[in-house]
Amino acid sequence: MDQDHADSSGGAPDWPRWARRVASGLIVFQFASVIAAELAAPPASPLERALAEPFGPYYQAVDQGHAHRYYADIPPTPIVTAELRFEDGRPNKTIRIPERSLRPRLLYQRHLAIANTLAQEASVGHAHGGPGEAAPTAYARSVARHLGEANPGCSGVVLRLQLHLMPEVDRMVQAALDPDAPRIDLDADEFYTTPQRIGDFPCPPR
Amino acid sequence: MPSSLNLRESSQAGRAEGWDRFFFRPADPLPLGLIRAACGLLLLWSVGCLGLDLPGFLGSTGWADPGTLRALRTDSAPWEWSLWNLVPDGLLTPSWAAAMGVLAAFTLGLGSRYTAPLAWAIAVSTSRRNPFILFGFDQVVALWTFYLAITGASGQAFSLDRLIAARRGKTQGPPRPTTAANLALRLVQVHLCVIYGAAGLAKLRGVSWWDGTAMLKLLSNAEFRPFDLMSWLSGAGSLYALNLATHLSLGTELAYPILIWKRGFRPWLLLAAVVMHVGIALTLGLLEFSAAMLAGNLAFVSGEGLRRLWGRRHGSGGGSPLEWSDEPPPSATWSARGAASGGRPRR
Repeated sequence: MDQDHADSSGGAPDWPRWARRVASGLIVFQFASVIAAELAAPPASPLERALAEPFGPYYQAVDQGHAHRYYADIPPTPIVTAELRFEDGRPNKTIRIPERSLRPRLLYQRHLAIANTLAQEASVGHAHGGPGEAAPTAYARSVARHLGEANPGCSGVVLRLQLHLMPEVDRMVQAALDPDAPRIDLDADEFYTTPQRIGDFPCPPR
Repeated sequence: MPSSLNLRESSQAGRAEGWDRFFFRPADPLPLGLIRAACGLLLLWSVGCLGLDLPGFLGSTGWADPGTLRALRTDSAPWEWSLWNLVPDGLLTPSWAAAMGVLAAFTLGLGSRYTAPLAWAIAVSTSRRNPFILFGFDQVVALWTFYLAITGASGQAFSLDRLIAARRGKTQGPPRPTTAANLALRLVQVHLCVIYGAAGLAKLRGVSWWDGTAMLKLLSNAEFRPFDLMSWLSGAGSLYALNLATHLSLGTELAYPILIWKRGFRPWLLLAAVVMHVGIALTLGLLEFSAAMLAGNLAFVSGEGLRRLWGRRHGSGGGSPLEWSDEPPPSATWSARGAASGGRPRR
């Protein structure tokens, strides 16, 4: 029968010494890898990146997520619009990523992450001389291909990226302090940047 | 008079003993059982939601096609793996259903020694199959599940495994403290401190966390907010409240890794963490992330305290749930001083 309520060992570990030694080594390795990953997340010095390098295969195999720098900066949110063309004469169809009406909300967050990835890759692509050049736009092609598959009859997809900005802080403060100030509509056109084209992709033949 | 060599040896022995007691002293597995149930529910929800668009999220013609992933993986991450890569499109639905079954068993604590590693494999596989849809929630829930899996202690309390053992007369009463449970709780605790510390230090780079406007900016992010909180913003008082919320959030993240180990501060830090994560859920709509972080915070709640809370709710318990016990023990047990004093763990 189980010894209940009281710890019969008097608080002594119930693992043998060799097991504790092995576990101690693994604990040290684990947290060395965790700290190294935190330090190596950008911005990081060459030394910090070098310290994390030996743990690379471990990070890939175990997938612990590396940096936890949540909302250190509060940037505007990228929005991607996909314009689908159809050869059969149907009017073009526009899909917003993320689509506001998407439920459950976790799916909306997933689509928000897709838009974030596209935005990051697009900015890297532009830095390297434009989209369609190399790996940075591979994901855009993948997204366009998926949208083409999901919309039969589609002949091409244009992906565009824009940012949904936040109002200036001073303006929000003014609106809060002055009851007569006009209410800020966060979805007004003024808070969206002009859409920039990521690329025009052919839909896969069916 | 002891020589300096003896003092050094004694100090080293004390440190080793302190380390042993910190990581390997048996602990009540109840908080771990609750963390398992929370992680299981969150994984069920997450993988379940992917089921609403299975071909899109996990299929070969989905948002992330295998060719793109292969190209990225070959370039930068040859050790990455995903069980979903082995599943052809035709078997996606039955495989997803099997994964949901494993996650349900993990949530309930059934066959925990096997379902916990499988649940972790499902979490990692899903993250790796479509790494472009991830956010903090996925990282955190996979981390806790990893620690539950490698210690094998997740089913020692609050589980069908334990219920079945009790029915068979193999156990009775509250679960026995175990080293494996303590190790799992310690791993979660230390990693949670790393997360809060890293998040807090990173925020020190952002001007808005210094000038108190971070919360105002977050509230005005129309893509994140689940509902319009800006309309409640009226008068200087509300702006001061947002300044205060900004400073307190940052203060909580910076203080947590240090003060959570002090028993007197622990209830206040946990309360601050609850308020902060409820705030994140309400203002940014990151409900799952907040729930995963709160699940991690359970590692700092004593099994005894939880039983007392449960007892009070059901009219059978005595003292206050905030009478925190030593379980799990605070930092004093990790110090050479505590070890040298020969103090036995209090219960």
